[in-house]
Amino acid sequence: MKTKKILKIITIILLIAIISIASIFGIYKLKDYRVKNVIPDYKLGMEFSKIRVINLKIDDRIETTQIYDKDGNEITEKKEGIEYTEENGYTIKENKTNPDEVLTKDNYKKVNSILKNRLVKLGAEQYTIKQDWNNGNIQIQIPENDSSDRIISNVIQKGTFQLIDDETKEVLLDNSNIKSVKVVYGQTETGTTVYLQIKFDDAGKQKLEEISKIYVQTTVQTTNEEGETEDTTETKNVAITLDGETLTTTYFGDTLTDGVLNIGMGSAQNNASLQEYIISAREIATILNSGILPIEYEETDYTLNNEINLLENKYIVYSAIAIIVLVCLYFIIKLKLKGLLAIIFQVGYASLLLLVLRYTNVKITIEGIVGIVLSILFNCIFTYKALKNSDQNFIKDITVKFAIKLIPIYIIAIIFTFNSIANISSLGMTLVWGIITMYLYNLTLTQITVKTIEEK
Amino acid sequence: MLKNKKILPIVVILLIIIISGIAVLCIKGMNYGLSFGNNTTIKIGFNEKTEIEDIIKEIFGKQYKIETLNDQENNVLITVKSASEEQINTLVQKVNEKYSINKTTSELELTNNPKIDVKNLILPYVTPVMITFILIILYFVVKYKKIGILTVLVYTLSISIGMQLLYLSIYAIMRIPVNELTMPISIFLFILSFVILVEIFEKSKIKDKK
Repeated sequence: MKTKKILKIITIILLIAIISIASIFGIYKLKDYRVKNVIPDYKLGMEFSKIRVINLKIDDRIETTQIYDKDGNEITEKKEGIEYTEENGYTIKENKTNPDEVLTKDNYKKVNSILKNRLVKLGAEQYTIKQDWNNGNIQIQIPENDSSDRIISNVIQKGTFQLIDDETKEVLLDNSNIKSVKVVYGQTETGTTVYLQIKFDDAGKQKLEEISKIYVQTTVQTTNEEGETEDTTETKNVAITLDGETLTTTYFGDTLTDGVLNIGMGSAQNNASLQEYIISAREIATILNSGILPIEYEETDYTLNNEINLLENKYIVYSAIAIIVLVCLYFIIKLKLKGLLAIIFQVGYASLLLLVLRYTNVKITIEGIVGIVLSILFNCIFTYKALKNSDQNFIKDITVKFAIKLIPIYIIAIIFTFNSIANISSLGMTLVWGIITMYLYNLTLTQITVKTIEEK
Repeated sequence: MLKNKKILPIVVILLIIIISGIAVLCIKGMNYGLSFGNNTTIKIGFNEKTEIEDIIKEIFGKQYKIETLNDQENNVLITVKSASEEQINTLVQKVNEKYSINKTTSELELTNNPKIDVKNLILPYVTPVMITFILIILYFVVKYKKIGILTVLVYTLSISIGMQLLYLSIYAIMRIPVNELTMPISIFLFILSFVILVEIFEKSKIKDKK
């Protein structure tokens, strides 16, 4: 009976050793003539991988210079031999990209808030913004990935929407009348069409109704040179522009009375093209919903190999070693021989959790590491209680009681998991997987061990 | 539970630390680390792989960071607290001497970066923390109503908020630099405070039963 007990425990220890070896060193297989680790890599947050640094400097260019003479008449042609200076009585007016009155603290704050809004909506899972409140310059850091370029190009767009007369270029509608913008889809003959749906406020609704009555296609009867009457089609077009760039030129088929303008962004039959249209439309919707950037910036960016190595920080390493030693000592003092088993169980649990996190593709940020540490801490408490009270019912007296005590942690784990910022969701996800792994691990390995110990 | 006289001296000591911390914070503010505080970055391009850490250490002291740029591995980005004209000249001179090159200061790309706004640092955490905080308080009030709603509320608020204030005070008093670890540790303590509270309430429940 005793040999059977020892054999059971040795088997469990061996199993833990295999899990630990697989987690630490990996499992290697010959694949495509190369020995490869079949265990997926960790998905690391921006603290541990490449980052894109975007420097936004306020654009201080002078776009045009106007010179006025003493009588206030503008000099359009400069004559040779005349110095057009203020000392000579001329008034010089420089038209800057960003006039001085725009460069205020309120506008700096507005830019900060718009940028944050755009970064989140454009899918930047992690970001940091540093802003110099004295000169308005900004530094943004985002993770380097496939979407970095798209995020940068959209985040710094001014966001000026205009509905203009295609001929006269008169502005008929602009951002000031926009209530909200969203992306909608519709089935047409050419496939699925993606629309940018712009909803206008009451004033915009009225304007749009008027515009949709004027900018239409009409058929007019005209008499040609030979005196015959013929039908001629006349079209009055509007151009829809974003930051001066024409998105589309169109006319209205029906009068728009509901204040909603649907702009076709593209039609596709295959998923890849459709996704591309959806992404473009969502980007425009994000820009328009976040508002116009009151200041224009000059952008420069570079990619940095930003790899924080926590192990380089001697305070972290020493503290971690001290905590591990203290926990081990506590287990041995309190549980004697069973304490050694408890230590082995912690190694096994940590290894298994790291494997689970790799297979579930959880992004590991510094907050994620906090989640891992907390999960190990909870497992330490569980194992201690299970081995200390090995005579009690494992399910009823230990697992259920412990599970109830952890209810606040479940609340934190669930709420944090659904956050859009990777730092916070990483903590939530590591906690969720940490808790699930802890129960599965303990209900199998720890329970078998505890029951084996108690067997007579 | 609240009448426990043994914890009174501990509470007084903690209160003193918190008040001192807040005072230091008001007078001196937080001590920002190299990446989170005002800093200067110097971008230098090289034709070959270089080892300039010793030069940087000699000119700028202990607080520096050298990173490689991804577009060209030989380009480096040096982050220092601040860089004077004299320090830049010395840097160029020493680099030229070490690698027998003729770099000029104009070839260096200098950028003065602002410090991170505390608001920007904390803001992403506010909503999830507030939601969980309210939900957990509601759970505690329902689960441990026998202990007394007021007692549960006082304990929950004082321990969870007290731990954060204590953490902030230690940061301020010891001049620990605010960096990438500051918020994660704060969240760790936030979660830990609920583990401690559950233990306190459970023990109190058992005592009450007895």
